Amino acid sequence: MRINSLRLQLLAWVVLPLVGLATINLWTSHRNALTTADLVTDRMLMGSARAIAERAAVTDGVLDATIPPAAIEMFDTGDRDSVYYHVKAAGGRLLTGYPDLPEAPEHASVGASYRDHPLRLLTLSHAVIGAGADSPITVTVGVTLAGHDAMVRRLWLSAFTQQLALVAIAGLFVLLGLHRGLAPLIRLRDAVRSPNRSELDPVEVPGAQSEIRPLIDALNAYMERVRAQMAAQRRFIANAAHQLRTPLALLSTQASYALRENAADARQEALVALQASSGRLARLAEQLLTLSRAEPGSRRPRADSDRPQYRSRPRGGRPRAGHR
Amino acid sequence: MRLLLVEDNRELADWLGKTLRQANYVVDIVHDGEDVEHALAAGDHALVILDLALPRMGGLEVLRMLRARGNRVPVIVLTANASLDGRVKGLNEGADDYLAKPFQIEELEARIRAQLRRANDRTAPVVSCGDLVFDTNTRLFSLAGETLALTPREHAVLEQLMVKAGRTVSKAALSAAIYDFETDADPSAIEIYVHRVRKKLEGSRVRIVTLRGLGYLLRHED
Repeated sequence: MRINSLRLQLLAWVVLPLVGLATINLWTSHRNALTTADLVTDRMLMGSARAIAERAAVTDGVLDATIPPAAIEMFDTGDRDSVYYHVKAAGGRLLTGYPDLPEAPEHASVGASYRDHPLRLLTLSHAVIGAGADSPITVTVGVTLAGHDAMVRRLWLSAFTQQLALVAIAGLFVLLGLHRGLAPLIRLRDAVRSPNRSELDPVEVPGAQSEIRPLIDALNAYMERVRAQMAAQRRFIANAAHQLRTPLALLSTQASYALRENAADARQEALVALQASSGRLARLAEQLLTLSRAEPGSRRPRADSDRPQYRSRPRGGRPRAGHR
Repeated sequence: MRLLLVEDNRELADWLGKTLRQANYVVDIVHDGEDVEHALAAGDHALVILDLALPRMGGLEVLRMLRARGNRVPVIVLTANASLDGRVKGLNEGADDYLAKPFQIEELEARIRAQLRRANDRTAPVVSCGDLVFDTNTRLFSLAGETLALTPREHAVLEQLMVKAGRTVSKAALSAAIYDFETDADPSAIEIYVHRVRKKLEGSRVRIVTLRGLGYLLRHED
């Protein structure tokens, strides 16, 4: 597809790469948001597991684990997340919680699935003083991903909004800059079009940029050439008219003389002279015609290009050009 | 009337001269601007027809020089340049009239007549002395209604006396007015021309009076 508008072209050149860059940036920020949400969730899981593990104690020789409410409530962020946990003794005996909840490798959190819900799991082993063979206990806490996903969305959406605003503002500035940048071109157009420009004098566009200057200079140089050519043509026509004036005066004088003369031989003489004059005039016209083909449009330098000189008289006459 | 024609195109000059001589003008022709002053000093020209494009000394320059020396001879300028600027310039330099080429000879003659009328303080085209009438338009003399047949020389003598009617015209002045440069001026021949004109005026009341040592005088007797 060809775009003929300079505005659209420049806009495309600025905005399309910007959109590409913004897309890459959004993908990166999505990854960052995910990492951040994972980290936050893991910290909460760790905090929760520690709180549960700290409560495990041996009372009356029996290892007992109770779940402090805070360990569960810290996940209540309004996103209706479910929290699953279990506490097991070293031998694998379940002390409390959901027996079929999978475990995560030591000191790491993993994504897992429980009861068809994806969730994030963390397992912590904790030594309990006085528990003997039951120590260390393992505490596993898992949470569904609603709060996690909401956090990713929030983080990503804010990044998305910023980038969108950036692209829009950039586009707006491109348009604004173009409008200002193209203004001299518009002025140039108006100056060339202007109805009171009958003469081909140079166009002056104040405030034109250095990139547009050559165009204006070229235009002015072109008009100068056209003007010079027109002037040469005008001069040629004026000269040609001058060339014809004296022979025409001669013809008319000879004709008048012949008309008034009564003597047959004198009249005959005048008529013969008149015929010769008219023949010379015809040759002069022919010469002018030939010259007109060569002269006004010709780019070849001539020895005397603006003042053609022809002989209108055969005997010792001087050229008649150059009347003041 | 003796005219000076300054035109560098010899052919046009020749034919203009012939045509003006047909109308009984005495015409001198020079082709060069530098000859003008000399020609004017040698002859008693009533008017100058001046082309502007002249070799050596341009027509405008000639005009400027003439006026600078106080010469008041009427000048009709001829030019191939009919631009307003050219016309204004010519008139500003002291030309009395301006005619652009190509022109019709009738217009040139009319302008010559107009200039001569003005130079002689006349407004009417007809000059008369008793029965003798000179029509400056047809350039013919008539006596009591009859056209007077005169040779060019006789015409020149009578025209000169007529223009100066009532005043004495010296033999030298008559000679200067009737001979062009191509003729050997012969002052004694003046008497012959005067004599012939007198014969043609016989029977009328117009007389050419000879004033010894002074010249001639045309007048009519009541």
